[in-house]
Amino acid sequence: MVDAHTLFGFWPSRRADLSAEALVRTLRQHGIDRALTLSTHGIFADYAGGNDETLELCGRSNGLLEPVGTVDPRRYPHVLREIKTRADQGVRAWRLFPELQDWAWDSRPVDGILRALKDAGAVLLLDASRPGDPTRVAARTSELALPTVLLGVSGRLMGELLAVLNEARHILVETRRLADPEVVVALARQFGADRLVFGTASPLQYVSSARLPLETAPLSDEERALILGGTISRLLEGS
Amino acid sequence: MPIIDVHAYIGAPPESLRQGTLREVQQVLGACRINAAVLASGRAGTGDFRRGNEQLQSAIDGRVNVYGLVAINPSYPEESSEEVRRRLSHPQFRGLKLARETAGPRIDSEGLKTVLNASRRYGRPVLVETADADDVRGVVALAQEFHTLRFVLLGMGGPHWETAIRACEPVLNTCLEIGSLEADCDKVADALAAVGARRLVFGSHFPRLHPLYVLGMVKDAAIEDRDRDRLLWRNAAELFELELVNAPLAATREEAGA
Repeated sequence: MVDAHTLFGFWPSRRADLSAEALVRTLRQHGIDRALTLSTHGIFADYAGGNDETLELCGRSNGLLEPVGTVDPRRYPHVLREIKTRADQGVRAWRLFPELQDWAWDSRPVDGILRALKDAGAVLLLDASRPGDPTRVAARTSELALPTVLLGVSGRLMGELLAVLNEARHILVETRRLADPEVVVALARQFGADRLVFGTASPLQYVSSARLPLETAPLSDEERALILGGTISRLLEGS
Repeated sequence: MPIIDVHAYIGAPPESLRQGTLREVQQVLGACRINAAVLASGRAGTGDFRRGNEQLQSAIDGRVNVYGLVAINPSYPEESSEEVRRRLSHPQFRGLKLARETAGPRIDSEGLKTVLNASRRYGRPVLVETADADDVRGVVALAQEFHTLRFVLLGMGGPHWETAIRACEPVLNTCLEIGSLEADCDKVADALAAVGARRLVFGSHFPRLHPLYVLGMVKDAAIEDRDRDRLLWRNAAELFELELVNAPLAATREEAGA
């Protein structure tokens, strides 16, 4: 089982234990074999320093953790060098944080960043929880066909999600907040289980809320295996 | 361990894949081992509350382990008061419900106070959807004014659950219902530490959410089993004065052999 969405570090907006120890403990408690993770220092303070912390922790995790890189467009164009440097170090998954860093998804620096990520063979993960986010993200990444996982999307955006997944083959969806097994099954049957990715936002959020709907959904073993790690593994290996 | 769901719906929202029928509620909640449910009308929350209440009553009438909430609309205070009078005379209606969509700009509106004044005599819980910190403060203000009534903050303020916990801690006639999209770890344990084990209840918000999503929070929460027991059913049984019948949720009385 691969968790495509975890974090470690300090979380400023509420009290939460996101220590590396808490992350590893949570993953082991829930039998998660591997997890993609990044340091929150890279979100809130210094993306390069955060990427250093991410690589350091992943390097001593005995394969449990895989690094997710991040950059902040407000430091454009320096971010382009950071993407190349980390790609050369083996970072394949990347996450951007417009919702936490107060920059616009349609701003010009994003063009260069997306191009650099595409050239680096990256997979992008991005929060798309608000109405309109899936559409904006799909439109912005479509020209490059950059594999992009929409994080935090709920069933309340079902109509938008169906339209986006139908038109944008490079878009995938994290299952965490879909909540209803029937929604998971409907998406898997209509678009393929290889468009769905298991993520938990652990240890910031409860793992079982993300996991129980998947475990009980009437999926085939193959479908469940894809969602619970096969899809994200293939993307990272193939990129 | 029994489970009582204090907030699920008859009637599905427009974006839902679900039908929102009682049969579906029975199947889905039953599969999650939920023994009893207190139901609200989805239609009443966004449209004609009187028709919604009527549909709900028709659906649950004569069935065991399902109860109803009277939907009210503060824009229609006299009509809402009449609905309260009418529905609470039915043995299966056990509380009032205010949906966020029809609450207006402020939860603690004059229209709602008119309804609550007319409802005091029944002494039934008042369930209010709370989506943010302002909603939380509005309910707390109402709870302080109408101190003989018990108020349940549905969704616990959504992303502003920390505000809900802090605001409700000293206001003893408030309860927190944990169901929302915010699966923040460990909001259940934090709520328990603040308001105590007797002021938390479980609601699935099905079909807007799913019982498993909310049960996942309870499963992972760092709380004692005795507190989990209170949260999952004992508090709800006391709050709504429920007696569980040993029969499937929403079985007819004939099926239940009652």
